[in-house]
Formats: sequence, structure tokens, C-alpha cells
Amino acid sequence: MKRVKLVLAVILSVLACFFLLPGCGGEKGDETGTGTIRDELVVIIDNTKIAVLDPHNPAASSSSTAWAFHMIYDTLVKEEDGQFYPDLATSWNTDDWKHFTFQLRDDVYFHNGEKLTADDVVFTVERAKENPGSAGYDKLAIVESARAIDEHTVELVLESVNVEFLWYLSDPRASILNREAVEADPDKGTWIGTGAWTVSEFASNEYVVLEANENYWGEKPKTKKMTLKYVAEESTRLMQLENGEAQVCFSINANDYSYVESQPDKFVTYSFTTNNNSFIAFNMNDPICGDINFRKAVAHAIDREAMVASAFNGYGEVNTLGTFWGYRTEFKNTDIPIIPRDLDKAKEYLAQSKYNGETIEIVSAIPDLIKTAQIVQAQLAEVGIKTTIKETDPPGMSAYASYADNKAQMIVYTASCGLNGGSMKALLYPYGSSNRASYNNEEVARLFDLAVTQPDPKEREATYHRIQEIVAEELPYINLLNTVFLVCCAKGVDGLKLSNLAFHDLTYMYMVE
Amino acid sequence: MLRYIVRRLLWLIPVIILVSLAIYILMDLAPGTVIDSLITEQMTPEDIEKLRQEYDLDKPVIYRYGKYMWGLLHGDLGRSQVTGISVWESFMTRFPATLKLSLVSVVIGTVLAIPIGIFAARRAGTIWDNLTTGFTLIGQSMPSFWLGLLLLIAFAYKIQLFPAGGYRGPSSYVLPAVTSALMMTALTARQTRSSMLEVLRADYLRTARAKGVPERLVIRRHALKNAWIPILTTIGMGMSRFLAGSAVIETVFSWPGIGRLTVEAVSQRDVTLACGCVILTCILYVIVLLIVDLLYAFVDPRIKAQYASGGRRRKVTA
Repeated sequence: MKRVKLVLAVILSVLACFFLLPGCGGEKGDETGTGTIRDELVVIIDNTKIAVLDPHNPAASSSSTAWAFHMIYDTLVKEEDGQFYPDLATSWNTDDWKHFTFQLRDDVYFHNGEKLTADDVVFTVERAKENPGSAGYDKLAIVESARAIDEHTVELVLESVNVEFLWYLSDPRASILNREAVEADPDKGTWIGTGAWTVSEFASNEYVVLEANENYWGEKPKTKKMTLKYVAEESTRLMQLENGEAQVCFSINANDYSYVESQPDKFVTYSFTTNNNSFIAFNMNDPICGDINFRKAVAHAIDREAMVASAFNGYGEVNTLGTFWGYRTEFKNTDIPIIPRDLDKAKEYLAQSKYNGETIEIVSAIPDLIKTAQIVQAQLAEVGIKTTIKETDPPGMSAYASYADNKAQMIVYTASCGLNGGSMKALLYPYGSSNRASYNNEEVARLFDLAVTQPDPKEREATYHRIQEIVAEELPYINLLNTVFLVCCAKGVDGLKLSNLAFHDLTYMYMVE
Repeated sequence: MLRYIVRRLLWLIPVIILVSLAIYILMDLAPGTVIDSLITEQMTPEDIEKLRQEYDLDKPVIYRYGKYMWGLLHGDLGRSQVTGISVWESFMTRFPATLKLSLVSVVIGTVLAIPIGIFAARRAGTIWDNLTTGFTLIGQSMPSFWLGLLLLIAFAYKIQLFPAGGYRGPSSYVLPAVTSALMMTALTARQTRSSMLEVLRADYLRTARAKGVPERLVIRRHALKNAWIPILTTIGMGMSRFLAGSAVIETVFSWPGIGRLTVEAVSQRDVTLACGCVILTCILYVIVLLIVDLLYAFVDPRIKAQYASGGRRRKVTA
């Protein structure tokens, strides 16, 4: 018996050493002491995950992938508040907004030591065009041809005039890749960029470990190592932040926001309002929802404040305008008044509509929006509209409510809105990828096509304003709100550059301890 | 014995065919396809149609299945339809994490379960037996996500003894392994108890005791040895289940295992990846059960004799 006890004691001691000692010492190793910059930062990314490190892969469309791209690659130009600045290109010119010439920097090297040349730009454009479905394709498909004029000069010719082309070039998914690296290793060659960070480890949909690029041509990062990781469980994220296992979290549960904000001695928070609209879309081909009186009845029946309070815990910007346009998308028409909540008017419009007590199906996906749909359901019941909710997931939504084959009646969902006016085509143009309303207005389509040919901002503004007026009159969508996210950081974290889209720049983020 | 192993492995072929066919058909019935998540702003209807053709979505499901199986026949599990990463590589990137967690869980589960089961069997009908039965009942009925969260709050958040999830260093194994193991502990302890109860009443044990053999030797050398087969089966089943990955435990503890990989593949309608993951999991399942079967031979000489006789008589199943 004594021998058994002895053996057990030895086993338990070994197990204790195995499990406990590394837990005590491991995390402290990177710390550098008070007042110094921490060597390593662990960042918990949002729910979008990083599936691939390749801008030309269809799975690279998530916002968190764009954060990694910001760090690993560079683009020809960069955008800030609607203005464009040199990045890999020192200058550019165009006479007709169709032929663009870019002069490249001559001191830029890729992570594999190769020098950046015009041929890499040509390669990037050609590769992007070969990959429909990728965000890179989305940005560069309008380039008809790319030609290296000399080692550091490249000419891009567009299929048609597009005054918004620089918007696309500044997108992190239009980053420049190295021909030699990608041709040598199609899978991992895309990890080679010219950016301030190099990839040291990557596990799809889990984490990417980045190390500061000591040979970066621009300002070098203050932090030496950064891990962007996905944590599936929301409560685990907050615990990791509290424990010091992570220093930044982009995806705290909204229920925990008030707790985090009440701890200023532990956390620094940054709030960010998404540019993407959460909306109600009406299937314009549906006999009932296609009736403007029914849509107006719904518009008068809804209470946005209640949605933000209940479904988003108060963290949402209630829409106050009558236009359906991205929160910060350029040329927003602020003169269109919102349709106010007025139950009497809602009932009046309903009486004039084709609605005769049928049960209308509301389709929704994503938990917060399903909650929003439930609130919409309750509010519509107040004016006598019977509804049922069909819950699905994002692929199910795309299949159920696509432009060409729309089986839905009403949809409560969200869609990506870019910063350039043309990006709203996805929602309002025939066959647009997010056109859940199956909205087809020839005049709107014509105006979208016209806008991108108008170099004069005033003319373009007038065109986009007119589009918004038509859409507000026809009401294929009701804009509800824009979600507010809270980025939670350990105290001492700084240097985070929030983007007007969700493409935040973490390149120069650091933490002073 | 070799014939027996080969015969068991050959059973994998119909299993793989049926399982992969079921996945293809079920995923075809689910709303949406993989390209629904790939459609972007600038894509024209022609681009989308081109993409549909590229993924063979314009062809019947049986064609896609046949094409997949043809690749599989040549040892090619294909590439993820979403990321383009090879299915084998995606699986193998996560398999080590799942394997290690499974092994640690099985060790913890077994080390706890067998003494508890023996303890309960020896004190059958007493308050101690009732207590252990209660413990195993709680272990079996407690949802793993809830237990996992409780452990996280207690040991990662309050006491800060272990990390709150992640796959970094040995200490990160403790909480997910304990969570997984407790369920197995409950099952195995109950199995051990009932097997031991049967054996403890046997005549040969009474004889051994009458001959003055000390009780601990009676239990260890005579009783436990004869009760091993059903216990081994339960442990094997537990190991197989762990190897298939638990999406719930992996989610709670941010464990990069194959359970979550499979669930994500299904939610993205990535049929190649989902199918590959399930096929590889099936193979693991069969291999583990085969190992368990072979272990029977080491535990029970009668079974060893049956294997040696070339399987002319069916082996005893647990």
C-alpha cells in the first residue's frame, strides 16, 4: 500500500510541475518592466476570423483579414478621410480617369529580400483578375490592362472611366504581392509583402503571429511581435483580457461593455460605429411588399430606439435620416427627412395597401439581427401586421434572398457599405451582391453609371443625392441603425488607428507598461 | 490476428462511402451553397455563373459526389472550397491539438474513473456507493459548455491558476481536459462499478478470499482483470469521441481542434472540407476501436486464442 501511495505521490508531483509551473512563468517572459514598451501584444480579433493570407482568395473578405493585410502588405496609395496619399507609389497621374500612371518608390523590399518593381504590380493586377469572388478581384477587376513602363513606373488602363478608382487601390485587399514568391509557392508565397510586419506563423481561422519587419522602408513598429487570434467564446474573451493573456479585444460581448467602461483603471476603450447599415429590405417583386403603401406603413410603425436598446444593449447609432446610404459613405444626402414613427399614419397606409391580414415572412440571420427582427415583429403587430420569422445563417440568407431569385418577403439584415458612393451599388443596382430587395430602377442604375464618370465632386454629389432621393421615395429599404462596437484594450495600449470602415490599422499599436 | 485486422480495416470502405454520400446529400439539401459567401460587390451575373460552374454547382449532386470519390480513390481529399487550403493540411494542422487533448482527457478520465468505480463496487449499497453514483450522475448530466465556463470562471478568472483558453503550453490543457474527462469519468466509473459488481460475486473470488489472499490482491489480480473488457470498451469509446473533436469544448476554451473545423466547414457549406474531416474522423474512430479490440487479447487469453484460431469463432464482444 505504501508503495502505491509513493507512486501516486510521484505521479501527482510530476503532473503538478508539468501543468502549474509553465502557467506561472510563461506569460511574464515578454514583459519589459514599468514604463517600457511591451514586446508582444495579443489581439483578440472580431467574429470575422482570418481564413487565408491571400488578398486574391475569396475567403479573404473579412474585416479582420484586412487588419492583417494592413500590417503585412502595402498598397499603391492610402486613403484618409477621403483624401489619397502616396504609399508604394510616390506619385500618380491621369488625364482621363481611364489611363493611370504610377511612379513607384525605389527603396522598397519584400520580406523575402526581393526589390519591389512595376512587374510586381502587373502581376498583382493580373492575379486578382483571375480570381473572381475575391475582394482583390472586386477592387482590381475594372483594370483592363497593366503594363510596366520601366522598373518603377506602371500604367493601369481601366475598362471604362472611373473616378473612384483610387478608393479601390487604397483598399488593403488591393495590396501588392511579389511575383517570385507567389510563383515559387502559390500557398505561402502570398504571405510575403512589403509591409511593416512579417508572418511568422499562421493557422487558418485561428491565429496569425506577426513579427516586426526590421527592414521596413517606412516607420518601424514599436512592438516586436503581435498575435491576432480568434477566440470563439465571448465570455472567454473578456477573461483573457482581464487575465492579461490578451491586451486588445475587438469582440467583447455588448453585455460586458458597461462593465469594461466602468473600469478605467484597467481598460482603455475606443468606440467605433460601423459604416454598415442594419436594415429592413422589402422584396420589391412580392405582391404585398412591392406595394409602396405597405412599405410606408412599416416605416411609420417601427421604433428604432427600442431596437437599439433591446437588441444592441444601447450600443447602436439610431438612424435619423431618410436616406439609405452608408453611415460615413461620401456624398450622403442629409436633407432627406426620416419617416417618423406614427402608428395612426401606419394604419392609414396599411388600409390603402394590398395587405389583407396575411402573415408576412421576415427572414433574418445573425443573433443580434434576429433579435431586431423579433422587435420589428412586435412593433408591426401593433398596427395589425401579422408576421413570422424565418431564421437562417449567412449562406442561407444569400440563397434565400438573392437578387435574381428572391424567396423572401421582408428581410432584416445588414450589408457592407463602402466609403465611396459607388459601393452602394451592391445594394441598389440590379444584380448587386447585397441587393436583398431585388430593387431594379433603371434611372438609379443609370445615375450610378454616370457618377463614376464625373470627376467634378459637385456634379458627382448631385448625382448621388438624386439616387438617394429616388430610393427614399421608393423605399426598398428602411435604414434602422449602425452598430457601435467597443474596442477594449488593457490600460497603456495606444497607437490603434480606427478606420472609417472596419479596416482598422494595428500596425503601430503598442502598450506602455 | 492479421486477417482479423485486415477484415476490420476493409469495413472502412463501405463506411466511408456511406458517410461521404450522406454528407454530400445533406449539405446539398441545406439552403445556400459555398458560393453564396463568395459573391462580392463587383461580380456580374456572368461571374457568378462562372463560379457556379467552377464548383460544379450547375451539375447534379451525384456528379459532384462521384468526382469527389474519384479524387479520394487517388488519395486526394481535395481542397477547401472556401480557403483553397488542402483538406489534409487543414485537418493535420488541427489534429495534433485534438490528439493531445484527447490523450490527456482519457488519462485523467481513466485515472479518476477506475478507483471510483472499484470503490463504489466494494461498498455497494452503502452511503459511499450512493454518493459516487450521485457524482457520476452529475458528471453525466452536466452540459460540457456550462461546466467549462464554471471552471474558467473559477480557475482562470478568479484564481488565475490556468489560462482562459488557447493552446499554449501544458497548463492550457488542464481545464479543457478536465471538462472533457469528467463526462468520461462518469461513464467509465459506472461501467467499472457494474463490471466489478458482477465479478466480485463470482465463486473464484470467494475461493481466493477463503484461501487467505489479501483483499487488495483479490481486487487487483483477480477481480479487475476479469472486469477489464467492458471498462476498456468504454475508455475506447471515450477516446474515439474525443478524437472526433468536441466543437463545444473547443469553442469554450479556444482550442484549435477538428471539431470546430468540421462545424465551420458545414456552416460555410464547404462540402469538401466537411466531408474530408468526417472521413478522417471515421478512420480514426475505426482505428481506435480496432486497437481496443486488440487490447482485449492482452487482457483476456480466451480472446487471444480466438484471434489465433483465425477468427473461426466469433470473438466475444463487450
